[in-house]
Amino acid sequence: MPIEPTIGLSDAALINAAKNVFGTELTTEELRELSAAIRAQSFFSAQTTDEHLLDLYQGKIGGILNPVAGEGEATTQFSPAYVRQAIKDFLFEAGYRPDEEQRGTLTDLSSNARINLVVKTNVEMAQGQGLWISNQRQALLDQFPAWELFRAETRVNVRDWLNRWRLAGGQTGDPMGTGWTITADSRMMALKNHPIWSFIGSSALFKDALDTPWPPFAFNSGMWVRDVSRKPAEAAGLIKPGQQIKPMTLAQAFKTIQAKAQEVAA
Amino acid sequence: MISLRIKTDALDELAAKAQQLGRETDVAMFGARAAGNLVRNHLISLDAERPNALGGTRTHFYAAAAKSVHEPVPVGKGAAFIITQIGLAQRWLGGVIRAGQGESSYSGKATQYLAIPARAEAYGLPPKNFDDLQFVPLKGGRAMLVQALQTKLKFGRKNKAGVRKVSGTTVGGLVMFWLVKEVDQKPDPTVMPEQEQIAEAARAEMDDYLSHTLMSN
Repeated sequence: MPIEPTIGLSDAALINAAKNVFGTELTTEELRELSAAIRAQSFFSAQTTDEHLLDLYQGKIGGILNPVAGEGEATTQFSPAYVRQAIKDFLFEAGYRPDEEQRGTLTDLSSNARINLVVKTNVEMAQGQGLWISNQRQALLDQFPAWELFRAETRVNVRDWLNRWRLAGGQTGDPMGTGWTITADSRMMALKNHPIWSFIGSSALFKDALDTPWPPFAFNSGMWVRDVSRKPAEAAGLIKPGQQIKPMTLAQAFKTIQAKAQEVAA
Repeated sequence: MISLRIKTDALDELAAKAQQLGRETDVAMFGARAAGNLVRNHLISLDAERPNALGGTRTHFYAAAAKSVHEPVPVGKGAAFIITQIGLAQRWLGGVIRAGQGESSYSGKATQYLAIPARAEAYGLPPKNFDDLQFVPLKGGRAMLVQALQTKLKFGRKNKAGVRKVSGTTVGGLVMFWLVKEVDQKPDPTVMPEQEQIAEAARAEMDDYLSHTLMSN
């Protein structure tokens, strides 16, 4: 199996490149009023009106997702540290100076914390969406029908994901063990197209959620998903032998998130 | 781009079986997927086991690498996946890195030195992130970036008379970065699973898929 540079842009890089830049004064809370589907197609950052800055972010994030250097160029330009510095330089040259009281906080557009959050969240959302889309193929869903939600990165302050999982599962109307489960050793697993994925990422249920059915599900979460193949999925009671789950469209996935948001708003 | 070709007799046998069934691409894709999943899990384990040596804020390099393992795509009669995390191949295979290849974040010109973090606070940050570094040359063409000596003022609360207490301490003098012209990084084969493990993961998945397909036909 030769691996040659014949592979084109990844799904994640294409998703990032296709997003429309959307400068906005809206806060994170206010942005949630927009439909999840619109947000998934847009590149924005809370209270960031400068579309040149957003363009720069989008381009740099594209570089992280698809780091192809030109002739004689080094790839260091795609490392997060250099991306962060490029954003800082842009802001400084554009005359941006943070309020002294806000310097270094998330509201300071030039702080490491803010830039890291924007870059990491957007890189991971594009990777997560790419993963989700590429899994919507019948043959793949037959062979790897489920995902496990697991901790990919340690955090000092961890959120109670097991409890969230129970709560999200409860919202689906399916009792535990039917399409979603928690194993005896506390592993969180569900069929790839089970509505639990929309609920675990729903801001109507969890304030920090990103309103997507793919990881990272919430801001700075450290959680990700991994394949569960057919045999362990059957052993966990998620799927019966011979049973098929059908590929899903993005519109179907967002319908669940939107319906929950409308229910909570009402 | 680095190519890693996995080829064993067992895989060839399965590929031949798949060809008879007209499922060559599917079987290769599932083999590549299993290999990719093994690599992802391996990198996630490394992320848990290997925080940065200096103890600075974690960048979760290996977890980011796991997330950058792409989904497999068909290539010819086989399947392939790529990993796009910058620096992973360097850690895995090692090799010499020389200054002058990239653009300095400080000057915008070709780099004259490679900056190696000397303290936890410098980890994951380019020197330009600091506005108080002084260049100090050393023997042998090396150098260091040292935090300039400075007085840090601390403002207390205003007292009843409206006067604020101010105290000052001298800080600085710490080496933040070592500057070198080149580094020769040793390879670390443990960054990736062993080739035998990758081949076995692919074989097991291909075999499972073929058995499943034969049974349902």
